[in-house]
Amino acid sequence: MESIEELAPQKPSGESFLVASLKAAVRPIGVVALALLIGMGIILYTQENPFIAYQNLLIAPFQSWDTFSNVLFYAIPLVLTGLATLVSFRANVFNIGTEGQLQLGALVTAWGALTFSGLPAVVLVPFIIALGALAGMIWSGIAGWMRAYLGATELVSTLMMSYIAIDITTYFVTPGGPLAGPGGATNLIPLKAQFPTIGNELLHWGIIVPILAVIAVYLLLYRTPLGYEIRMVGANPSFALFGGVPVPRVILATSLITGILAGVAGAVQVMGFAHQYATSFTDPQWGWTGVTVALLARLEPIGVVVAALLYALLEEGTQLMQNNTNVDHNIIGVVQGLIILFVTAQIAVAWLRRRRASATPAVEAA
Amino acid sequence: MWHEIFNSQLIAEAFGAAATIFIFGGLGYLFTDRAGVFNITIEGLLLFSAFFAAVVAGVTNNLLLGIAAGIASSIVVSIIFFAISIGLKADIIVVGIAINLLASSTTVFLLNHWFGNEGLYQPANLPTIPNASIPLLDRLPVLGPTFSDQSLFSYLAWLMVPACVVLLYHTPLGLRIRSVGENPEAAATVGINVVRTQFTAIIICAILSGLGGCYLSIGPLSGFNRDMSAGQGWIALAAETLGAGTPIGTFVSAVFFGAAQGMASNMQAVGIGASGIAHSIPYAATVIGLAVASRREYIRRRMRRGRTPTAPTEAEVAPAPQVLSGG
Repeated sequence: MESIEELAPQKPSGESFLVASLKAAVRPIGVVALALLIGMGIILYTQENPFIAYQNLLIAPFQSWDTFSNVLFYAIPLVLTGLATLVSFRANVFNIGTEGQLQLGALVTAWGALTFSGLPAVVLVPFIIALGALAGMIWSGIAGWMRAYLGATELVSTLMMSYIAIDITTYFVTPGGPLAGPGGATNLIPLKAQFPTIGNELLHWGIIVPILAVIAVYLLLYRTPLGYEIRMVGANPSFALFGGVPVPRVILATSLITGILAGVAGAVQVMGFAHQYATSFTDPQWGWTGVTVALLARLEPIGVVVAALLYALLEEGTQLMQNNTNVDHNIIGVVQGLIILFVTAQIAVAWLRRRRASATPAVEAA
Repeated sequence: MWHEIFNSQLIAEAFGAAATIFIFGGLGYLFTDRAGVFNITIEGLLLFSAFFAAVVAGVTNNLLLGIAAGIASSIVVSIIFFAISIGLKADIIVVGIAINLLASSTTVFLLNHWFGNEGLYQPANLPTIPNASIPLLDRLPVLGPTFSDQSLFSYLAWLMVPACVVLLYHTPLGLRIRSVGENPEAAATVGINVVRTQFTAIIICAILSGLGGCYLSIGPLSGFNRDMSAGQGWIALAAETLGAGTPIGTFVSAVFFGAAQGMASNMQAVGIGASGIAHSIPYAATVIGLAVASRREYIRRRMRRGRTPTAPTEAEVAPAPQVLSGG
């Protein structure tokens, strides 16, 4: 069975960690370049100057710490949601509900920060992050359990659960709701529950969380028995089953980990970015972008960092482009969609080439 | 209160308005599913066709051209889906996710580019699919509202149910589709062109989803909103699953989900307490329906084997979405 494991680079055992990481890092760039080229065509079609637009989009963000720190700032949630998606997808579990898990995690974190504001910061900060993680974990776990033990397709259930989560969180903060402060949001969380900013920028110390998460997910996948089982289930579930892997338990575990990471992403966004939970939290679609980031990274933890930074660059660049040119920022959304389509096509072509090279008699269905 | 939620308007909604999209989408997905294609693009197809139906109908002021454009856009996107997922043998789920994301971003981009509005396209003169009543049936005591003043496309959706039964079970094409889905290798050995059959199924799905998309934007709502499909394509997919992949079963499940939708909008209209929460009733119903369908499947397999399973079978572990996997 062809599987999503194809997305991951096949790692020859002799290859050093550095080389493998570099390869994973460089690979997305070609795809992005192709998508940007088409974007250029679209900009030309709208009768704007693509060079000025791309100067703003791709180069301007590097020209000052002000703008570059924003790139790092935008990458924070994307690394976390990208990793969240990665863990499930690696086991061939298509959990596309990270958006809702993130929202729920964010809401519960905001609630925790407001309710337990008496606790000292050293206790409060880890405690409310854990609360967010727990909320995401439970939400993702429901769909994960249904997939693992009933065989209910997680594509539909995770997405439906995501919609429900967004309805719930929206209800809590719309005027009249249980946690509603002024203007469709909770009250601001206490200062001690907020991540301090770095300098005068938007960037905050919450950036430590995604860094730790990348290391944790890398170690989980490649250095633990569970990680080995996840990769095995992703590669071939029936083989894994006959090899003694408790497949349903692994599927459930990946769902729980996905939920934890998505919930933490929500927590970090509340503590570092908004300092409250607001209905507008659904606008940036951090969860959905995480799916794209994970696919772009070919389900490699290090690749997720690169892909998230690329997306963050597009995000900051889009802002600059919008400020300085008349180019429609929605073009970037189209470019992002094209990126994944190309990623999938690229994998397919690589697969066909490998298949032709191996020249074994193919058993074709057709 | 309960009287208001469960009034006859609800029944009308369930049969007529709310279920229409689930019927179109569910029947469309049914053909691809039965041909062994895990086609999760229904959501994106609904959005694309809703957009192009509204835009072309609005700009040309011609309803039929709008409908044609809606269906055509759905077919074009489906051909891309086919080319990459089956032609190039890319991961069918990933391609599906990409198509759905593209649907959302492309329609918003074009909406803004053409009309300078990021959220809404609602010209005053937008031609819409007319409503009609079925004489005599609209006089029925309880079901009356179901047959009076409903969109023509709602009636078309019901007609699609027997049409799909005939197409699937009583034509050579239907037989081919079912054989390909059942066992592609066996189908190939008796001379069925597996890829062509799957292509045909994808196109049938595109046409049905295209009709659903037209209903979405130039039906009773008359206008295009960004992301207006709002998960209904996925609910349609669940309706087919809950309906065990049969046209009648899909229809019944679609009506069930339609009733959930109707109940939600009734609750919101009445303004009951947490009316925001009511919005999620159809989604919750879908999750529950999916769990019920899977549980039923699980028990059926267990009975067939006549013993308590110590370990789940491969089918339970992975419901084999990627049928056309090549190697």
